[in-house]
Amino acid sequence: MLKLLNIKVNGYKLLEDNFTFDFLTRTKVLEADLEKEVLKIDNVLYSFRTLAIVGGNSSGKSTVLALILKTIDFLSSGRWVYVENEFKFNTINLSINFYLDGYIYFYTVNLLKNNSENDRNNLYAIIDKETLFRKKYSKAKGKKNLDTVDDATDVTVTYLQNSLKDTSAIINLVKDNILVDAFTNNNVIDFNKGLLSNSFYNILNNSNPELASSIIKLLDDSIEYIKSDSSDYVKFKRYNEEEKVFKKIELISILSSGTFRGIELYLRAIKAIKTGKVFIVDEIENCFQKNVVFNLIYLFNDAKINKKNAQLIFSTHYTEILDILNRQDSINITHKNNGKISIKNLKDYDIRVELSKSKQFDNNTFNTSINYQQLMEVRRNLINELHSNND
Amino acid sequence: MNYILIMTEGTDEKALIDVLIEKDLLKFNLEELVFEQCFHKRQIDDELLSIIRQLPYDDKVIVYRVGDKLSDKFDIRKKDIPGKIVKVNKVCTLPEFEMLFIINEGMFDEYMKVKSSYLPSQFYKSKNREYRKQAAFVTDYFERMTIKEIVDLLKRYTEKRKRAHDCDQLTLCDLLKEDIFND
Repeated sequence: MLKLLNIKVNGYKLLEDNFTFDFLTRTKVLEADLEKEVLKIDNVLYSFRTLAIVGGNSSGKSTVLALILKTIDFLSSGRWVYVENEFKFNTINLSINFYLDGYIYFYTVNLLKNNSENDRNNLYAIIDKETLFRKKYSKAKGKKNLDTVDDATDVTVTYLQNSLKDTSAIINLVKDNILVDAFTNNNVIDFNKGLLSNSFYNILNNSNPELASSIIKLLDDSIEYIKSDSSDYVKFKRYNEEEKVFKKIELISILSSGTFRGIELYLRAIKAIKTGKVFIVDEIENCFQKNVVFNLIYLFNDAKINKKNAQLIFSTHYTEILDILNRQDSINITHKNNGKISIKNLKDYDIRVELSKSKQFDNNTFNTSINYQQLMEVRRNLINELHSNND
Repeated sequence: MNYILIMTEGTDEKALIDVLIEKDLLKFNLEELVFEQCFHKRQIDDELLSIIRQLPYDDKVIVYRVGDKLSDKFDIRKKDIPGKIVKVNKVCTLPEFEMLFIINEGMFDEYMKVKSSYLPSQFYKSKNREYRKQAAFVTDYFERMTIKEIVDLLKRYTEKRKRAHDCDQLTLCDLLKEDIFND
């Protein structure tokens, strides 16, 4: 399987110049870590089964996840779905380093705006100036393999000469070696158009019924079953009640948001673990109590269960979740200053080891809390407004 | 109900206990074990605390700490889970873990002649080039043994224990099903 090592980008949304996301460990890996959060890519080369992105409101967490998703999507499809507001300028410059079959690959590409006036041609960004270098992974060097491209072989022509205007031939190298699924906060319902996204019922129908049933009961133990097929209707039964038939869209509003979201999240996570995917989840705690999230992370971090080294990359506001992660270097913190998004690893901070990670976040060690001055201004305005209403 | 929390000092011990669980040799049912597994942990950290907190509220926990040193003070996290942990047992794995392999392969007397010069792991490595000080080696080694072979080995290993930290410490044999010794 292909494993991402790092991604560097220029010109993507509000990410700062040379924004880099690193997938590799930064501190010594113990044997016990390999049974849990750390996965081995090759000798002395390690990544994580779970990676967390935390930060204050509007600090760029979702942007970083979107970058990772689009990068993997690009590698596996050869296409970058064109979204104009992703382009800070006219070009997005992407550098992706990855490991595949004993080699380190260094790939760069410029993605250009697709200004085609014909809408049919406006689907993908234009591919420009691709390069691909590779070198055999030296087991003695570990991360130092990534320090230079000078000793790598230029294989641009070998692999990329058949690239098209909007499709990179990188897919001939990558093929199915990396798969991704993303569970985001996109609404699935448009109340005018109906059920837009059928991902909930798709995964329910494609999952082991016994497993799906046990997950449904974990989230809502009053539910005896949910049975759906390809029709627009679904059979639903609670214990001690008669079976009811609903339109699929109706059931979504009957279930609590936590149940609806949780069923789909768990089933898709299990599918990701079974197939070794990268599973991206924005705001993993949304609608859930802590243990629901904890157990999901615990599944990914169990080497005996997660045998294909699937990776969970998630964002969260819920800093208590971070206390259950044994490593520090799997946690990344985003900041937005002067409109630019940056990212730092937890290991980059000088932290007090005697305090839990959540307490350090609570103490604003990483400068992720609400801006105090801004908060005071809001309070003053609120109080003024309330006083004026009472007059 | 009392749940059983088995915590091992090292990954070797965990690997062995995992095999004992798999072969249904422990005196506890799988359902009695917290999260139906054992843990490689010296203390109750936040991860393990989150796990314990998911147990039914009224149920308690009995801890079995498995290791050769067991010298550090064990924190039962009274402030976080008051009254949850009702007993802590120590299971002493002395002599050194690698003595299991040495005894099993009939090299005990030979080792005793050189024990002042070599650690058990060094001695065993010199005899078995395949040996790696890794959990995977332990798992593989014990998975290939029959139940009777494992039980006999643990008995012989326990008999070699000359000293214990405290006389109230348990041994690995104390974790096995009682009737297993009658077979």
